[in-house]
This record gives sequence, C-alpha cells and structure tokens, in this order.
Amino acid sequence: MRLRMPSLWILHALLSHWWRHPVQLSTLVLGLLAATALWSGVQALNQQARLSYDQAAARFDSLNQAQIVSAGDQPIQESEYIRLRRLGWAVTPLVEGVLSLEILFKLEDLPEKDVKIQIVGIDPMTLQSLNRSDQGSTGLPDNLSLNDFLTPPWQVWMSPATAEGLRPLLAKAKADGFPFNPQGEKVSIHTSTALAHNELITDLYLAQHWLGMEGLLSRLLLLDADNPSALPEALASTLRLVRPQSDHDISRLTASFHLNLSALSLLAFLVGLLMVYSAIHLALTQRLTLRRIVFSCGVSQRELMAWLLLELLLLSGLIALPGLVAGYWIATLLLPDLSASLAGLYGAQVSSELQLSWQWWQQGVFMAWGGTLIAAIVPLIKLIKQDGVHLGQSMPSLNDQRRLKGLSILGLVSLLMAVLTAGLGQSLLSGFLLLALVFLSAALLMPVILDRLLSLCQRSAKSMITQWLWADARLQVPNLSVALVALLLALSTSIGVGGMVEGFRNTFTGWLDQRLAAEVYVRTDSEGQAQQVTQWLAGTPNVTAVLPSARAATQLEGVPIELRGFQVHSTYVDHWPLLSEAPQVWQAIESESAVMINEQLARQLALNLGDSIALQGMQQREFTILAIFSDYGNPKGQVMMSLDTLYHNWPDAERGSFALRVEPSQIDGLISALKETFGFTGTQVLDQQAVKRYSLQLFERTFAATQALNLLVLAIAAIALFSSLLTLSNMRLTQVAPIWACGVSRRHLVLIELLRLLALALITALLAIPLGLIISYCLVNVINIRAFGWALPWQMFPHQWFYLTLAALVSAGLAALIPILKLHFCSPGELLKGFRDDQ
Amino acid sequence: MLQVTHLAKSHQTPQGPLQLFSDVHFNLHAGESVALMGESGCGKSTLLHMVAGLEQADKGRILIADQDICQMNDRQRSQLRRDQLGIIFQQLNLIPSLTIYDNLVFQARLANRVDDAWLAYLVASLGLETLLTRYPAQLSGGQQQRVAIGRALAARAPLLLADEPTGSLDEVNAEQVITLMLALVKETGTSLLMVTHSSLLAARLDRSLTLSQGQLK
Repeated sequence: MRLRMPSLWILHALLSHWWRHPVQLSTLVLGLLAATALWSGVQALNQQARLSYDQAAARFDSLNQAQIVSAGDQPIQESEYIRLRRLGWAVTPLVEGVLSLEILFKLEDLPEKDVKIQIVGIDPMTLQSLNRSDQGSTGLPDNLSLNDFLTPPWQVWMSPATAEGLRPLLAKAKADGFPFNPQGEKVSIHTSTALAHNELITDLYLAQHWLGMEGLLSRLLLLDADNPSALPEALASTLRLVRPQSDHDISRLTASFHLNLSALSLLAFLVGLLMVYSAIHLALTQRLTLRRIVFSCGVSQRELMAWLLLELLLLSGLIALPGLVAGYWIATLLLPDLSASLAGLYGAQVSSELQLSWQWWQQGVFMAWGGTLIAAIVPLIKLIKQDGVHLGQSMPSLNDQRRLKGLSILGLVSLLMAVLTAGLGQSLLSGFLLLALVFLSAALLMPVILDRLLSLCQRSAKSMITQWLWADARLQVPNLSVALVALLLALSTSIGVGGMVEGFRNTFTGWLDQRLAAEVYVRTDSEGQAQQVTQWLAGTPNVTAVLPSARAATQLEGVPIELRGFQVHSTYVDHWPLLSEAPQVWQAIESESAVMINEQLARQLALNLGDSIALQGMQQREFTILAIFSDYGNPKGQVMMSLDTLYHNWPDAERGSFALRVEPSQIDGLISALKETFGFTGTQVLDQQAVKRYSLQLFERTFAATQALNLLVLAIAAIALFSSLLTLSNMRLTQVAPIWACGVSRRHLVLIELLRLLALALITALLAIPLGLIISYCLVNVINIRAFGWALPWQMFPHQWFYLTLAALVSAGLAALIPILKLHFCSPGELLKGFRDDQ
Repeated sequence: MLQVTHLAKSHQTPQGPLQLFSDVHFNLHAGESVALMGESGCGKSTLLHMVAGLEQADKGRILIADQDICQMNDRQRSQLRRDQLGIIFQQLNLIPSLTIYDNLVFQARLANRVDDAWLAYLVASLGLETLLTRYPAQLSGGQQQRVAIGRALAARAPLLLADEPTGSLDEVNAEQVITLMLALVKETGTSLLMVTHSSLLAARLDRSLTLSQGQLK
C-alpha cells in the first residue's frame, strides 16, 4: 500500500496501538461516549426548554401582553369588541377553548379519552399589527398565507406531532365535526414546529364554530399598548383590563434549575473524562517504544506531537457522533419528566418534541474535542518531557514520594481556595465553584491518603503475605488512582445528592402536612360563582369552616411578588409552617398592620422580622413583617396578609379560592356535591390527599432527571474501574509471578487479589462518606439557598451510605472478576513470562 | 561520510557536571565499518546518540554528508535521520502494535523510498518470510533484531548506527544477527558505526575506536 503523504504512516502506526489494545480503546470510547452523551443530553434538554420559553414569550397570547378579559362569567360579546374598535382601541380578538377528541370529532367511544385539544381562533389581519418590538415576532407560523388562512375552506395549523396523533381520526371524521367547516368542506391542515403539542390555530370564525362560541370572544389583546389607559366607562362593568405580567419571565425563573442540571451533567462529563484520561495516559505510556522508534526513523518531536493530537481529535470526533446520538436518546427519555417538573414548578410549558439546532451538534463535537485535549494534556506533556532514548531509566512513578508531595500541596491549596470561596462567595456561580474545588481537592488528595493508609496497614501487618498484600496494593494505587478517584467522585455525589433529595423529601412531606391542613380546596371561575359557592357552603352542615383566599400581583423594591389574602383561623394558627415569628403575629395580621413573607423573599431582599415594607400600589403607608414562612418549590416572593387588608389595598385582587374544613368522612360527598352543583372540573375541587399526591408526584418527577444522571455517573465510575483492572490484568501476571515462584498457590493469589481490590474499594467508599456529607452540606446550605432562595435542614442517611458502600464492593468484585479468572486459569508458561522482558 | 570534530559532552549529576568526553575527533568513510568500544558508562552510547541527532553536543561539529547536525533544529535533524541514517538499539526496536512487515518497511515509507524488490531481497536474506504477518511480541529476541536490521537497511540509508545490537542476545543468535548485518552492510556499501563491548565482534569490523577517560583512542 502506498500513501500519497508518507507521513500518514505515522498516523497508521499510532492508530495501530488502539487496534492491538481493544480494552484501552473501549475505555476511551466508553469514557468519551458517556461524557459526550450525558453532557449533550442535558444541553439538549436545556436548549429545548429555552426554545420553548422563547417561543412562549414571543407568542401573541403570552402573559407579557396587555389584554382585556370579561369581568364576569360570560365571554366577551363580538359587539363589545366592535364598540372598542370604533372608540379607537387597537385590539385583536381571540377565541380559546379546550375540547376532548370525542367532542371535537363528534365521535363516540374513542380510546384516547384523556387527550384534550386546545383550539385558538385568531384574526391574523389585526394580529399582525401587534407591537412586539421586544420579540420581533407574533409566534405565528412564518409561512402562513393570509389569503388562504382567511378564505374558504380555511386553514388549521398544528405541530407535526399533533398532526401525526390526529391522522388516524381524520379518516373516521364526520361532516359535522373536525376537520369540516360549517359549509361541510374539509379544511386544509398545515404543520409548524412553532406550535405547542395538541394545539390548533385557525381563523376566528372556524374556532367559534367548533367551540360553539358563535358571536363570542375569549379575550382581546391590546395592540401597541405597553401602558394602556383605563377602559371606557360604558364597558368597565363588563370588561376588565389586565396589565402585562412583567414577572412572567420564565427564562429568569428557571435559570437556577437549568444551572443545577448543567452542573450535574458537567460532573458526569468530568467522570467520563477521567476514563478518557486513564486510557490516554496508559496508551501514551505504552507507546514510549513507538515514540523512540519513530523518533529514530526521522520524525521530529513536533511532528509526532501534531500526529498524536490529530489522532486524538480524529478518534474523539468519531466517538462524539454516537455520543451525541446517545445524548439525544437520553434527552428524549428525560424530557417528559423535565417538562412535567418545569410545568409544575414554574408553569413553564416545554414542548415534548426535541428540536435541536446544528449548533447543538457542533457544540457536542467541540466539547468532545475539548474534553479529550484536557484529558490528554498531562500525558502529552509527560511524553514530551520523557527521555525518548533511554527507555526504562526515567519513567516517572506516580507513587514517587515527590509526586505525592506535589499532589498534597496542590490538594491543600485547592482546599484553601474552597474555604476562601465558601467564606467570600455569595453568588450561585461561586457556590458551584466551591463544589468544583471540593471535588478537585478530593481528587488530588485521594492518592496521598490512600498511600498513607496502605502504608499504615503494611506496617501493622504481621505475616509476610499480608505485608505483601498491602505493599502491592500501594504499588497498584498509581495505576488505579484515576479509576478510584472516579469511583470516589461518583459515590460522594450519590451520597451528597441522595442525602439532599432524601432530606428534601422528608422536609417537603412534613411541610405539606402542615401547609395543607384544610380537607378540601375549591377554585371558582369568577367572582359571581364565588359568591354562589359561599352561599351554598353556608347552608351545608358538614362544612365546619370556609376559609376564602384571594391573590394579587405587585412589586417590592422592583421585585415582582405575589400577594395572598387569607382569613385568620385556627387552621393556619395551628399548622402554618413558620420559620420565625414575632409574638402575637396572628392578632397583628388580623389588625391589618402586619404581614408574613416567605423565606425566598426574606433572603432575596435581606428582610427580617420587624422590618417595614412598602408595596407598590398599596393604600396604607407600610406593613411590618412579623413572620417568615417556608414555601418550598415556589420560585416567587410572596407576602401574606389578612383578606380584608388585601381587598382594602388591592380592590382588583383575584377572588374565588376557598379552603374548606370538613369532617373526614364527609369529604367525598362534599366534593361530589360541589361538582354536581357548580359543574366544577377535577382540578377546581381537590381534596387534601389529591393535592399532596400531586405535589409528591411533582417532587419525584423534579428529581427524576437528577437521580437518573446520578445513577449514570455511578455506572460510568464502575465501568472505569472495570476497564482499568482489565487493562492492568496482563501487567499483574508479571507482578504476581515472583510470589507464585516463592510457593504461594494460585488459589491463594486469587484470594489475595480479590481482598486487595475489595480493600481499595472499601477505603474509597469510606472516604466518599465524609466527602459526600460535605457535598450534601454545600447543596443544602449553599447551592439551594442561592439557586432557589430557601434552605433545608441538613440530614444524614446512614442506610444510604451502607447501600452505596455495598454497591462499591459489588462493583469492585465484579470488575475484578475477569482479571481474577485470568489469573486463576493462566498457564504456568504465562506466569513465567513475568521473568522475561516486557515485549 | 561522517566527520566528528572537537566534540564535547557533559552530564548534570547531583554532585555537579560530569564530563563524559571532550575534544573527540574521528571520521567514518563511505562503506567503512567502525566499532566504538569502551567501559560501561564511558559515554559511547551517548556519542552514538549525538551522531544520530538524538542528543545534543555541548560543543563540536558532527558532519553527515557534509551537513553539520549540531547546527540543525529538531525538524532538520529528523529529516536527516529519515534520509541518511538507520539506527538499531540493543532492544525494544520494534513498534509493538505493527506487524513485522509494517515495522520492516516503516522508515522506508516515511522516507518515501519503498523498493519492493530490495525489500523482498532483505526479507529473504534475513529469513523473515514466514514472520511478516506476526507481531513483535510473537518473535524471539534474535528475530526481532533481524527485523530491526532490515528496517534500518530497507530505506537504503548510507549510514547505519548500531548500539550494542546483539547485547541482549545469546551467543548463537548474536552470531547469526551480526553475520547477517555485516554481510548486508558490505553488500550495500553502507557505513557502520557500532557500539559494542565485544572485542571479538569489533575485530570483524574495519577498525575500532576506544572511548576511555573522555578521550577517543
């Protein structure tokens, strides 16, 4: 074979190493694959979420838009819309409604009973003049043709996934249902990825027809009105102006959530890189001979380095592609849980379909390249510094005391920096820096601590064989240290994250029990309905207390906050989860001079008991804070006050929510009666158990992605240990051969090998426990507070430590299985090779 | 072919600089074979490595084909090695992950001087016909050294540098390897500078030089 570029034979020689060492290649592939997959998977989730936030913010019907809604129970009349237009109000109409598939298609006994379709009717002519200078788009499909949209047979737009889901039903469609227009013609169906799942956008006329809302409108969006004036008096009784919700910036609210996810994926990436480092380091060490030969055959140091870099970039580029595919797959698996938790926590709607840009693929490949180069930099520098001529004379040993001393100094410096960061840092980023420094210190100090511990064991050992066992384990530390560090990081992360999640679960469950003290919760559609419900409840004998509540939105020192009004009652006095309180707090709240604030707000604005606050839009001068309550999972600051105080200061407050105290045996009967009397849906009337169930379900889904990533990190560490042991298994034969020659049986040697490895895994697991507790402390008392604004009690869960130690021992035992079997079944000839040269 | 003048080299040791040799002069003519002898640690391997451009001289000149290797940068030295030199070490001469054939032809490929007929002749002369698809670990020490000689000669380099090429071999194998090497060197007119401890082996070369107490005699 002849190559046009003779130097390509250097690449051929370099690559040949990997084909001859498939275990090393597998370690490299697995490490980089796992690192790329986990990192890019989480980035895909983050990117999808951000895309959805942007789309939602750009949408014509986003909450950032000033709008006019009905003041009562009835929808807006078209005549009111026309009147407003004639008065010079620039508004565009919107019809919205949710229909089940059965009603939409006018078909019975459909299997998809739970599927609901959101229908949105628009007037594109007026909508297009919507002033969205900040977004630059109304969120309508780019390729929407006005003429076709507005003229028969009209158009319906939906997402590709929705179209796919409706396809089987279209064949069965009846002429009086979807997709036929009032004239019996089939409407033209178009798809756009800009639309949410199970959402149809069509002309106002068609939407009114399918929703049965002829002549009626749901709301009117104000065009070109950032600060709208008051409504005309004639319409003020039937319509209500809703100003834009400036606090509804989902990207800002969810930033911490995504940062947490990114941090965990970065950790997974780093654990994967440890495997890559291990493989590259070993490969370069084993290629010292190759280096000397190519050097002596006329390849310069610089040229060799260039080819080595090219080789690594080529391999990592090739591995990155399946890594990205795996990342896509991971993202697809985690997206439903992520969407659910983001919807539950922040009300953010994230599309369940992944739409990835070319930048995602590009970033993934660059990340793999960058990671490989970072992992290769130390081994490459070592290779350059190595004496390439006198082989075997200047091989540096990690076990060398000078090297260990260097690692100790670096580890202690890193630890000192961690302490300084903990003391001085205040931001979330400095919190993550603190975590990174703790991990780095542990990684640097781990080989030193292991060496000291094993040396101690060696000195205290009585028999010669035990002494050799510890001495040999010490000798193995340099070769296994990277895998053991990976195991240490994975175990400590599991202990830290597991402890945080378990602690949160305990606290959250207890908090829910306190916060959800009432038996039934009701949310009405309007103020009129609220009055009817109040009257009805007054005549219901089983209800022992009706506790109405209302809400409003305002700002405090420029921070958007939520106001809640409630009626002071023993239900709250006895159960409300207060973190700190002044004496006579409930009486003071009732007297309209005091308020309670949630922990988030207290931390964000550094507010304490006794402080006075002036809320935007309030009538009275100021309120005194007399209590701070825990409010897990709420991203917003909240101020609670008596209902009368709220109504007095914010007459427009949204009313109509009730907490009901009922005899437990009467709960089901009351809920049925409420549904029957007022036509409430399942989400409008909830019993306490259902709310708790939903909240806990949401809690589990929130941490599903975290725990899945955590488990994957642990799996990568186990694989790292396995591949390191497998790689070293051939080397081991030459190391145990002298002991075998001295009369120790192979069976005995196998047992010693197993014990040695289990001892290393046990020490690693024991070191991971204090490290995990530090991580858990940082997560609970630093990251959590800075990311979400609330603290959790730091709790310990020894049963988790026990299971993780057991998992570490089982992983080590399994990882040792093949090398041990190899030793057990190898022939005497193979052991004798240990006395010959290492070629 | 090779001219060494005023060559000096010292090593740094914990006790201070150790002068290996100073003011070394010698010539090697085209087609000539010279043995470089001396006690262990006297610096003969270092001298060979300096001639190969693998180590730097403190001062002096080394002219190979009228080019001063001491004045060259790393890239130029590498190019000179690729074109003009063949090097054989005592052991670990082969790339473990390449087949014997790929090892044999490695330098010739780099120098873009692959001559199939010459390669076939070398393979036959060195008795490597049945070993070409094997890997170095599957060969004995003697077989590996024969491959190393083949690789050094395959590129038709005019100067062959050998650092105790039979040092790790038993007598029988050493004899076979050296006989083959000398025969091929004579046949191709290649110059040979060989470091050796063996006076018997040195006697089979055109002349001998001895490095002793930092001086070449």
